[in-house]
Amino acid sequence: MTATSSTPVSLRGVTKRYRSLAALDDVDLDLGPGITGLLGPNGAGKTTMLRVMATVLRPDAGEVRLLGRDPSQPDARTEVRRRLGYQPQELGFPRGFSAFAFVNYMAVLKEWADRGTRTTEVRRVLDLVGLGDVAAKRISRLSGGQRRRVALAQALLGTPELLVLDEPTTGLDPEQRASLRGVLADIAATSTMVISTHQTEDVAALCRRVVVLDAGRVHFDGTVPDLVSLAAGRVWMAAGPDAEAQASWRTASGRYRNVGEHVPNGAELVEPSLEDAYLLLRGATSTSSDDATTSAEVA
Amino acid sequence: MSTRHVRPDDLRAWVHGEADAVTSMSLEQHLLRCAQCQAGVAAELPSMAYAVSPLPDVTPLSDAARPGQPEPPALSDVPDAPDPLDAPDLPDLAAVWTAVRDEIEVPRVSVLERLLGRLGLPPGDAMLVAAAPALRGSWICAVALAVAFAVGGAVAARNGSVMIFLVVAPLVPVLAVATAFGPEGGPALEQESSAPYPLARLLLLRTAAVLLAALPVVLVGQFVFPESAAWVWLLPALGFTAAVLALSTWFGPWRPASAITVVWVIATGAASRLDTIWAVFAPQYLVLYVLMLLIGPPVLVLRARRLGTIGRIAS
Repeated sequence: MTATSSTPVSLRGVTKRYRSLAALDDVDLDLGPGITGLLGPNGAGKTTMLRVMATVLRPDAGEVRLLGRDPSQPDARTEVRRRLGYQPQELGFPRGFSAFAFVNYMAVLKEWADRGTRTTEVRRVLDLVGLGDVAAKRISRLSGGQRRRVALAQALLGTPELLVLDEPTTGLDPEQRASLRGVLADIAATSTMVISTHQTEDVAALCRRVVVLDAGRVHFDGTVPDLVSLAAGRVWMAAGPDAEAQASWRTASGRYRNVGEHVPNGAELVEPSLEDAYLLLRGATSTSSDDATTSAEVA
Repeated sequence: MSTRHVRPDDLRAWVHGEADAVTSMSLEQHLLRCAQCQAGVAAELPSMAYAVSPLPDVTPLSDAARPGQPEPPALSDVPDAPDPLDAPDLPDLAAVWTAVRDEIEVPRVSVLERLLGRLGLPPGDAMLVAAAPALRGSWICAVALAVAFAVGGAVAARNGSVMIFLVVAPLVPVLAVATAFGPEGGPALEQESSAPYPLARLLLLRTAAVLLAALPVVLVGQFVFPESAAWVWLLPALGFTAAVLALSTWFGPWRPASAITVVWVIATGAASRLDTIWAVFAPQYLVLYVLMLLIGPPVLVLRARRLGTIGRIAS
């Protein structure tokens, strides 16, 4: 992908190390409007990348540009933050705050000075994430999924141009997740959104683009159909597990879904899903050399 | 986030007070956050106004048919139903719902917030200081420390010793500030850091508020101890607090506060054993405390400005 001056998110040679561990290793990435999904195993560098994009973490090396600005410059960073919404992975809330009070508090930090308009906006975002009826409840009494939505609500204040969401659908039930997808899809129509998730179905439902990270490096960068197509002709339903498959699991029907190059005996070729493709890619990246990159553009 | 709405029949029954308790409860919950159904209620109300308007005095036909009864009025004599537009002014339901939600949801302006506002702090800043995540706890902690300190100080003064007072007094604001911010600088620091409000300003404002909470210690000292003991601890206290703020940009507030506490206790203990505790208040050390006080806040501001955040989340 080619970066332009209007690319909302641009990373060039971005590296971040925690002692000897490279959380991000020389990452180049340009993200445009719409929703981009970040997939990868635990420790792949997804959260580190999102924290860099959220301006709360400075990389050790490389160049970051967000909304056309350099966040290493204090004034530019403040300007970026005015147009940024961030939901971190690890949620922390002040003790004793209600959902409304916390989002209201964050609204003040986001320069919503006028009390009346701030109240209206806080109410809007809480309604948007389905917390309108528990707004006055203390956060400590909310469920895990509701707490996550409180954090999401503060990220949505002012409908930011850049939304960085770390596992926004974790802890939500299927109905809440479906509803939230609708909300996020609406917002993404006018903004750039980056989502980290372990839920491939969220990526399949929401994202126009998917980036797979592993060991701090980009192993795939393309559209969801591009990623799914990697598994075309490599997903088989069989009576039993295939020892040579890269991934194999028992389905509800009692048959086994085998993902890999090898064709199991008596197997039936089936349509691949995003999860199949991701597992295939994970298998490929974990056994390939470190500098291997699978990209829709390269492939 | 449900997109289902109340069925018109149920809505009508509720408006007319005919819905059962369970349906009413569920429906009212929905109405609180559904503008469309609120509009449905508003649409029902004029018809309700019509329903309760005075009806014409019409004699039942069965009675009218009886001999000796007057003629029933002609249909043309029956007045038309009142035009909904002519119905008496009804309250704006949206405004009513908003007022109800304001009453339930919007936090009251706290006493501290009002006080800070009267002291000239802009409303937003006052709200941030008053709403400081752990501030309430730290205020309680600081005041509790001050009270305990007053009792301890009084006992120490009666025994003719100011040593305990001089060891502990400079640490009270340090520990109160560290308590206010927690080990990482606050539970919501990562979310706060992504907001445009300057983090250093937030920290300094809260620190000032916490120091105010530690003020009772000064007052206690002034009344209980000799004049010099009452005030001399103030300089190291401010210097240490400034050092904690500066070092928090590297390590978070707790580790510097702990380190300073340990060093101070050892230093005062050694001084009193070798000579007198007053040695740690000698001019050369007072210069050190002044330097801490002068250097700490600028380091905090510059580091927070450069990093965009503070503490361990920056590394």
